[in-house]
Amino acid sequence: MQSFVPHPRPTPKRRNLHKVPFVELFAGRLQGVVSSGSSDDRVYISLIQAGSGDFYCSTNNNRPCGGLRGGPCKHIDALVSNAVAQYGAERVCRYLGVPEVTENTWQITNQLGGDKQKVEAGEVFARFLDYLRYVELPSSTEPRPEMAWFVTG
Amino acid sequence: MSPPIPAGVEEAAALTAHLDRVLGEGFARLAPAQVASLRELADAFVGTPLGPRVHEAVTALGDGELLAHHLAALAAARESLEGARHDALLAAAAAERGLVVGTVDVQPGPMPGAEATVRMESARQWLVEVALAGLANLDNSILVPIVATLEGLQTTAELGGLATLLTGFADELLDHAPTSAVDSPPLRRWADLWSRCILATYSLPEVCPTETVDGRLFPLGADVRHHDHVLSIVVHGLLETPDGQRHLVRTPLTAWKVDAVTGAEIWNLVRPLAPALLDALSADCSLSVSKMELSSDGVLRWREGGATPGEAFDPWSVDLSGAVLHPPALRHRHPLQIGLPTLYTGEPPAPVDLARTSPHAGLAAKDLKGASVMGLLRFDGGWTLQPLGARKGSQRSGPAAGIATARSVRAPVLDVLRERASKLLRA
Repeated sequence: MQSFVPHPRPTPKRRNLHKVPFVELFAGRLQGVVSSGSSDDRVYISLIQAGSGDFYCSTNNNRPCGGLRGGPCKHIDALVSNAVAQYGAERVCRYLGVPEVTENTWQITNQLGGDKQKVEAGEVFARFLDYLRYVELPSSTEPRPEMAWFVTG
Repeated sequence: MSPPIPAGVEEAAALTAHLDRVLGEGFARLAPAQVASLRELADAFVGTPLGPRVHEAVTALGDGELLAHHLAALAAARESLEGARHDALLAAAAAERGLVVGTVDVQPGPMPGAEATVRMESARQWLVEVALAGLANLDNSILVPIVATLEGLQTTAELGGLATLLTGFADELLDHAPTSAVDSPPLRRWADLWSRCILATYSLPEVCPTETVDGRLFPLGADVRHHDHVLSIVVHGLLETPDGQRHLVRTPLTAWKVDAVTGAEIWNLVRPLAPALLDALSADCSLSVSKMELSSDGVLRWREGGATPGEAFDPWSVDLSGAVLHPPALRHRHPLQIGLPTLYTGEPPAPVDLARTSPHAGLAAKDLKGASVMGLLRFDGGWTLQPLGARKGSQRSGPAAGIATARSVRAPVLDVLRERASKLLRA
């Protein structure tokens, strides 16, 4: 008889939050927000499609990242390495469809291949705002027996 | 020694598997073998109040009448079996431990308001689509639309329980999409969660009456539970009331969260709700409580102003025998809800299992060797002990250590996130 308890997940390592304030595996993409290395006031929206490995990176007002020349830029590298810290290599590789599980960022993007494929930055930015919405929802002393089902995350 | 496993517990689990299998494959095109399997489940209910409804549901679903209330009837059958398993297991465990099982009074929950009703229907609609496709055939085209529904549930106060449960279930399915690619998907777990979700879309939870209590509270340990978006700490304690009664009580502290908050920092999410309680737990200190609400299912609703720190105590010298163990309200009876506080030094009373110990709990197998341990007696196919915290000499592991560490966090995660978001909004 199968267990009711979810499969354990690896303990998340604390990622570089200032560099990658938002990362998620959602709707068939690894996507997130990456701070610029040169200006503290600039952030990039970066993403990789699961399966195809198609990628994109732009500022949040849709100016393409100059680093996208034939392959993923350093923002996408930062996105992948911080996703590995947050979720573990196994979960990231499984989600993206990378055949050989590895922690190595270059090997992950290299195994996927893929081309530059434009995605509106607003889609990912909206997800970041949705993510932040959770921290504004009220906490409570009400019973939540429903939480007996959950021990990961 | 572990309690016995009462007769019928395993047979009831085997009956639930009939529904779990069909939910895995999907109800959209039922084959005769699947209908026959569901009929075995229905046959077990002949002569019970649910019997006619379950029988009618199987016949209708077999005829292609794929309606929500038929699916809900099967969910009700499944969860009533879990409830029966819970009752038998709890009675066996309490008897072995010398605990007195209390009685739970419940009143029907209030009628949901207009807004809540719409949101419940929207959630139900999605759950029907999930059942039609099958838990092992879900892709993002089916799963992603739930995100908009979740936002509505989360902001409707009366739907807190459904929002919490459905958010966790949806997070898990989204993480595994497409589920057809998952090696041995956890169908029993998902079918159970699906069943509980669809039932919760029909009515608000029943209400357990409360009484106002004074007394002395000995906090024993804390269970750390979370999914991607909710953290719920349950502090287990012993409450002695002036009339000489001793109650095993649970104090839940729940906050919405994001996955960037990890490790000891999770304690800061719930700290504002009950600083005195967490400090007492961390320091093995009793509390004097006055005019707090204790509900008939053993939940002590925390009211920060109602607690005064008392004397230090040694948790491993607390005798729990003869205390009242309050079972959960009817709707929440499920083997997963069983968790009897257990204190031991040396040989554990059941095999230690860290499967339910959170990666943020600050507790690992090595901390338990030769230590005094506080844990919960659990059931998941067999009796196990889930450790919550440990003490070895002056070294503490578990909540006591986490609560202390959390107080010295510099650059809190949420501050960094808000600062970065403001850069995006200004750009």
